[in-house]
Amino acid sequence: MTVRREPHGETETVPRSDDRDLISQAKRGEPRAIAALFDRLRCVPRMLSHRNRTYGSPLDTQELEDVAQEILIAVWRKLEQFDGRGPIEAWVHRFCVFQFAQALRDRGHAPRGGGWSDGELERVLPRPNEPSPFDLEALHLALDTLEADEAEVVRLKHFAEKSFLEIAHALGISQNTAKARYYRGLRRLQQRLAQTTSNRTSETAR
Amino acid sequence: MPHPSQHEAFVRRIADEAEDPWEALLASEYAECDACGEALERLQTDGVTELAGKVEAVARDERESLRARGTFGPEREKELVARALAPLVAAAQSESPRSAPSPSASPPPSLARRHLLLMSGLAAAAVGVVWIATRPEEQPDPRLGPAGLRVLAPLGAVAQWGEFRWDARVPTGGGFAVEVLDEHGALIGGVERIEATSWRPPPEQSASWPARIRVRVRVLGAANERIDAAEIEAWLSER
Ligand SMILES: [Zn+2]
Repeated sequence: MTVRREPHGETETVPRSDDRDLISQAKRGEPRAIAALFDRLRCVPRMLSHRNRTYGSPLDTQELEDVAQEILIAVWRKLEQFDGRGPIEAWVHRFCVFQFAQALRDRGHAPRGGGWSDGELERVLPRPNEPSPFDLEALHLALDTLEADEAEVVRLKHFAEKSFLEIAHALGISQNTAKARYYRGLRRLQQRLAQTTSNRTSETAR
Repeated sequence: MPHPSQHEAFVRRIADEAEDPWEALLASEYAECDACGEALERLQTDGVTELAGKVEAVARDERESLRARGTFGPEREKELVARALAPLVAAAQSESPRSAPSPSASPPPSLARRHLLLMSGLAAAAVGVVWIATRPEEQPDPRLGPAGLRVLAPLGAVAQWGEFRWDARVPTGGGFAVEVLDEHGALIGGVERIEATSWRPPPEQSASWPARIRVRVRVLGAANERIDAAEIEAWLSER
């Protein structure tokens, strides 16, 4: 991540990666960019098979390949929405999280009533303390609802593993401002998660 | 107010009184006091630690996924990507060949030349798509195109316009052409034909270049026929 300090004391963060250039070149039809992007998008089958393994391989190879195809097509169609925050793989990873959870639902591996039965948990969650695919999906969705400045601090804290001091420096704000945004973000997350859980419960109750 | 020795007492009071203690702290005269911030963090009791743990789990999951090795293997991965995307790329190219130059663009060198460039770009793109779609196994070299041309420098952000370097398998009697274009596609420099895989732009050329350029390298055969081409973007990094 690069941070550019503007003149006149204003600070603008520029957490943009060159991957945006790669994408626009590929979308313009530059053959080399297309090849490079295709190569990078190999992360889809790679991350998907890793995810499947993590959860005890609920999908077989054919299903995994089908899901990989769905993800790749969705990624390609939404390439313009890539915001350049972080590498393209991190952005693509979210598609994998969502589609993997969706695939489990489609194939009847989904939890009922907003939670997992013990048997299901054991079957799909071999590693204790591992968030379920649906927890991950819900949290990613909740993270999307944060205000941009809150989301930025939360991402820097957890995904980029920065301290509040580093975040404050990077964004040109005080540590307390960084903390205020972070905790406000967490509170919002908590509310959103409570909402989705109650929605899910009421959906399945119907 | 007793401060700075009483950070704890101060934040305890605002935590009791204010709906959003962080906002209250930021609005107070101790907005910049790190000790107050730390004291306020210690007072958080509304389940934030648990939630922070969950967010951390999401982040850890992402890091692990990004590092993970798959089970398909590189060749099968390539195949899966090509199978899903090559048809989409081909379809996109047949309906809208290339985005038109921006309206602010300076007039292009000539229409015929522009047309030629467009066609060569399209042809190269088509070759690329077909290559990716059909030959992932026989062709382990990820570099595209018949000559395996790859521009090495400049590429992306550079400090200055130094030596241009590229890598390619060149046929006997073959050579290279380099074109430097501005972002509107106007030709602003380059060299018509050289044998070496590097070229240093003369300062009288590069001095007038904008901060962002496009570089097109072509591999030419003995009869100057085009064998391969690559185009990259480079820009001067800010100092
Ligand atoms: Zn204080």
